[in-house]
Amino acid sequence: MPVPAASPLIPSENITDEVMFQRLQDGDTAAGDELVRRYYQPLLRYLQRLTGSQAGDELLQQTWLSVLDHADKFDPALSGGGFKAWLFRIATNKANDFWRSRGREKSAREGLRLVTDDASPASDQRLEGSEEQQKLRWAISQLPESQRQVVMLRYYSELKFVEIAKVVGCPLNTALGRAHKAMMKLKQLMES
Amino acid sequence: MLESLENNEVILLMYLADELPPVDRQEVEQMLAADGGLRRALEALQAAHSALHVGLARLDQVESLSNQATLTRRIGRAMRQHSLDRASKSRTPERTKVALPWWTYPTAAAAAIFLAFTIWVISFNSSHRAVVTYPPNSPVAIGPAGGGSPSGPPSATDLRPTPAQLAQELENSFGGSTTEREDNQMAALQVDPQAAQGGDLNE
Repeated sequence: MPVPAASPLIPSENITDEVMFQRLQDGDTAAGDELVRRYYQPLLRYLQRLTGSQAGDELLQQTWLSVLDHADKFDPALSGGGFKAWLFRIATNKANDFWRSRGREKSAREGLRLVTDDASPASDQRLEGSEEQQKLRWAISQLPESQRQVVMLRYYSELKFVEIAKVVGCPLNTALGRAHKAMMKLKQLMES
Repeated sequence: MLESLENNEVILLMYLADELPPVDRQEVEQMLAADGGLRRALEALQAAHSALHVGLARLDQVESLSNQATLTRRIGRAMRQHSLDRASKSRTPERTKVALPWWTYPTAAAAAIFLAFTIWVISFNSSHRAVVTYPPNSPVAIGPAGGGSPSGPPSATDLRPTPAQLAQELENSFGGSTTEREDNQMAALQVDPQAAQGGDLNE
């Protein structure tokens, strides 16, 4: 695919992600900075919501380094959803790695929660915003990981469900079922 | 597409997300018009969807992110360093690994053992060989008259002494004939030869 040369006449906002990424592959570090800037907020929020921790910053950096490492595997023609879907797929994998590495710690924490907590919003979480917002934060943390991934991908990446199914690597019906269950469970938890 | 969707819940979700093709969308609207239960399910799903979106938007407003400029700069630096590392790594010629056949190591081991054995045999032979040193003017060292090759150096066979030559050589080295040797021994002992031969010492 021919890549338009960087030109001061074309604002960088009008250049597609795929073209920017091609420039990054060609050694244009400014294109990399632009891509990081474009996805800074949705990607960081997504990672924070998935991991529910302050590890979001670190995971964000790891995601971008992984993008560089696997740059040769990205094919815009084959990747449904383009660069964005590919980027969120890498971020999802990083979050999964994080969960796996923290699995033991999480199990121990959940065991402790069963003893000390009667299914109310976690008191150790950062308390910002109103009671309703704290409740939503807690409700999200109660979702199974697979359901949380689909819902957060939908909200933060704005990908279509067909693309989300590819990102998380499951059939479309499964992705839709997870999203439906997650939304109904969130509604139920918020009303309780 | 509707045929591929498993149940009404996922159909409604696709409808709500506006991801159905126009024909399927029209069909769902006909179903909704005819089925009150489906309409209620859609309303519930719509309410949950809206509540989640509104709630997340408010949560994002309240929760502060890390300083974007700082984090973006840090990631940019890390990416540049990463690219440099990869470039330098690709420039460094990798050590080529030569795939040796399986029999190389056994053969090398056998050769080493054979070499060690050969060295041991040579050193063993040389340490057990009788070394006879002849004076430079001895006939053995010079060799028999007319012996050996007329043009080249004498062969090992030519240099080998005959038994008679060896006897002569031994005699020379002990100093004179057998009789002389006996006299010398007596003198050394300072004993009368007659007494030594069994005579009476008082006579």
